[in-house]
Amino acid sequence: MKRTFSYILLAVSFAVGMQATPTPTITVTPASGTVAALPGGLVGWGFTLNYSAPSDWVILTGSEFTGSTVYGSYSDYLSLATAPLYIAGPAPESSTVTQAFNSSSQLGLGAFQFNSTALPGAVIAGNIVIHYSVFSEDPNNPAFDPGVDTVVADATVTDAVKTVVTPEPGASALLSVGALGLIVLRGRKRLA
Amino acid sequence: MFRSTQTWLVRVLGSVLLCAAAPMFGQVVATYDFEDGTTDGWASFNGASTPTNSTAAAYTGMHSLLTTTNSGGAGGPSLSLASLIPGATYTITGYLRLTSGESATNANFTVKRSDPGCSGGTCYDTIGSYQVAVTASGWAQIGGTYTVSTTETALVLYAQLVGATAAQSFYLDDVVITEIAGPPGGPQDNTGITTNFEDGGADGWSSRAGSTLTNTTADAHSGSHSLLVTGRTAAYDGPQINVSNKMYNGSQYAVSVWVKMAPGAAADTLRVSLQVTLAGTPSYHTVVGNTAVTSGAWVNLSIPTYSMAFAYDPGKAYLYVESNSGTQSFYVDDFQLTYTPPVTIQTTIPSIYQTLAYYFPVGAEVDSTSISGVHAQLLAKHFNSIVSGNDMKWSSTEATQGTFTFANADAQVSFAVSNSMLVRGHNLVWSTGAQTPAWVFLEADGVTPLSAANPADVILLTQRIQNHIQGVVQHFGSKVYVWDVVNEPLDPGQADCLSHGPFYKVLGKSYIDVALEAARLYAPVGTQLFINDYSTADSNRLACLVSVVQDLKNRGIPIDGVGHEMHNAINYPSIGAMVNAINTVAKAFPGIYQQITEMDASVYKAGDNTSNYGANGGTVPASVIAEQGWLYAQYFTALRQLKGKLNAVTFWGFADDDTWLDGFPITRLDLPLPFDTSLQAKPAYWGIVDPTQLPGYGLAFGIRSKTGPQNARVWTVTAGNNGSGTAYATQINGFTLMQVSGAACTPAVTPPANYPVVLGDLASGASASAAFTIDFTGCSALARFALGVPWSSAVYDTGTFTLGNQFR
Repeated sequence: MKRTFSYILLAVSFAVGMQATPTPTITVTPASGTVAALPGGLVGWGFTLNYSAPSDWVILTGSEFTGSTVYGSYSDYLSLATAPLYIAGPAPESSTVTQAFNSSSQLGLGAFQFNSTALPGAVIAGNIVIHYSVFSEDPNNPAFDPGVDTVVADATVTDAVKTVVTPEPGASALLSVGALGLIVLRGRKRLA
Repeated sequence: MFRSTQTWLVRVLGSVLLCAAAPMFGQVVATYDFEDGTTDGWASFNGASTPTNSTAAAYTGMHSLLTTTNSGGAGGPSLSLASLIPGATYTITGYLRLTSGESATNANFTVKRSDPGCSGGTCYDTIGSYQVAVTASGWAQIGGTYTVSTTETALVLYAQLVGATAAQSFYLDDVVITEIAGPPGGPQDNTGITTNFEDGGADGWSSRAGSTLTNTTADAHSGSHSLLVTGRTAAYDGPQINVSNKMYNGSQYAVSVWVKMAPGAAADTLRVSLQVTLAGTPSYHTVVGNTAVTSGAWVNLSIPTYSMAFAYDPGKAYLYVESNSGTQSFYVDDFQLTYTPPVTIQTTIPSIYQTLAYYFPVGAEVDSTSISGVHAQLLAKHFNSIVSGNDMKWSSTEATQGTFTFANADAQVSFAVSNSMLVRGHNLVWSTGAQTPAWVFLEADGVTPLSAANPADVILLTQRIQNHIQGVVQHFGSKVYVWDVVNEPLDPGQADCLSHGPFYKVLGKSYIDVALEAARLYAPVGTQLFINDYSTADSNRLACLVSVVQDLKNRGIPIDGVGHEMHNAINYPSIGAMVNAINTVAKAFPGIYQQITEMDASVYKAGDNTSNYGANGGTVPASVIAEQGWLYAQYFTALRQLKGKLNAVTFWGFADDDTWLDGFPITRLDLPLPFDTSLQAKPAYWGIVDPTQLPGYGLAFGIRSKTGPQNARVWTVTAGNNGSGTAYATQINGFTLMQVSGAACTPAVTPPANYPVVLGDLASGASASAAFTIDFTGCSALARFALGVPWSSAVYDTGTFTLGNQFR
């Protein structure tokens, strides 16, 4: 009898594993994906998670940045011990969860810390890869059993992002003065 | 009369018929006698006057071409040679005479050749004899034979005076261009030749002068057959193979053949030679030099790169094996002729120095071979500073007391100046006496060693240091912005931290003072004065460096900076130690200049003085080259963060075809630099410029599944290589769970094997997994954990795969 039950459980798990699981929609904020700061500065991304499957719940578990780390490094906030449990799904949860980037509370997807010597003007293009899990029961429900309710142990979605090293204020001012000079020159040329 | 137009038409017709008929050798293709009163298309070159037709003098007829050089004596009349055929050989001759009253000088024809294979894209080829004496009293013939490069894009012929230093006028007449040989008779065939005689035949080999060639199974280098050569009538008699079209003028080849003396034949000396026949005249050229051969073992006659530099009549090129003198019998086997594609540099990849311009200049050690051809192109593209490897050292600049020679160094400095590059000076005094002439440490008799006990000797060595430094630094002046005044003075094994070399033994530590003070006295204001040393990332040597610099500063000895050589190994020093060295010196001496002066990274571990990847035809594994690339990425990520403390980085070389590590600590294959032996970018280059291009970049981890009961839950961790190259030696170095929610419990993790858990080499697109069994007994279903999986790939590509809020 026990063996029969195990086989049935295995078959159910397999069937659950095979069924098409909707992919959550995770959009980074800012929506452009582009964040900028001075050398030595800290930037990061928040997110909006949307998941509308009728009977599954999704949680966010981690994030990675795939771009170059020559000019700085990425810290994942989702995998921190202090990270909230972000759940989206049917009631009593919400299908949409939003979290703004907050460096002091380490909330959001994660942060990119520019080195103090980062090259002004450098644009670091990459992706943020966001890990999530899907369950057939609300993880906040006391009846939740990960041994039975896990639909997707770990999957990812990817969003394109950019980090931009902005010039030092002095350099910006010089650039502005230079641009102003060009404008003046162009104006004079027209007059001539 | 201008006859060239008509002749060129004949040439075109000849070209059309070339495939079907033998070319017309000795065919005049253009003549310029100026008898029609025009300049026949000749123009001014390099600031000379515009040529004019003159009747004041003529070699034949009544007319010639008159030109005046520029004010410096350079320039002359020029002619485009656009119609010459690549690969064909011509004679180009003419007659030149100075105008009345001009001083005798020398002259020759030169071709300015635009060619991607030339330094800066341009070569200047002398036609025939260089510096033919010319006078105003008679005509002198200039010119000679010229074979057109197969890679040229434009040719300009010009007549020039050599040695003139002021404007001089001269006549030119009766210039004749004659094609004496077309390109080797057919399209270039780069498929090479391989013969192993296993089919029982001669594989295209034939006798040169009556010898007998026999396919034999009596002996073989490989397989069961070889070619036996007997009955040789002369030393040059032996087997030959036709290499027409297979070896093409201007191309490079690898040649290899195995030979063995026949049984009973005495040991002899064999070589591989080339016979070509041009315009009916044969010539002979050594390809692989004389090599001792016995009947006891097969010997390989080979050359990895042979530059074919001979034109020949169609079908008239042969490689052959001959002896130096004897006529004994020998075997031949496993011949291989392999075409070597021309080396070109990658022009579209980012420049190293431009990429790092915000941080520091990037230099390379050079020698005479670095400043011409493709090496020069690579050097100029990627580096904005040079240092001469050997040509500024004492043994090179003052081998004989008081006689200074700078020819090689001057050429390198000139290259740097013309390419807007900085120049480091290396070095003035080498503490160990290395590359320092013996006379420096001998009394005037040339025999007696200098002694600290003899006051005259102390004075003599002091003066020699001062004189040498004066002679060298004043010669280069402001073209050198920093000097390694004293090289490698440190020895942490000594109480005073100083190497007790030959300078020290006579002058004590004051030799450093003498050198630095002399450099300050004679070098232009603003020249930076350095001491330079190795292994400064080692704590003991770093402590000595600080101690010695502090002592110099305390005593008011001029010192502006320190050089950290950084001859690194694949496992040494740590990045942290490198960074610590720079930070320690910067903290001890705020504002001091610091440079990395001799950077490279051996593919061998520090202290490994026996391994040789190149032994027995081997090469350095791709995994090690990738590892080195990731190591360079760590170097330069760290060095970028030292902006403001680190003022320059110089590599000791720039491509693996020229590295001192091929001979140190033993003779072996080493590949320590950013570019490979074919001057192509290695992973080391990408590690410096853009680590996202490194093999294995994009390695991604995930959990593929969680299965099994609570007391034996199996989490399968997967690594996937999303990059474009192989992620070598990928491994998981740990697996931790930190509980973040729920009643406290302690999961017990059992890895699939002892750490590191090896995932191996992951090709692009491949993945590998490892299953970790976790006993969650005592943990509630709602307990959550933060996962940490540290991993590494190619040793220096490291990270930690982390996930939060993990249920069992």
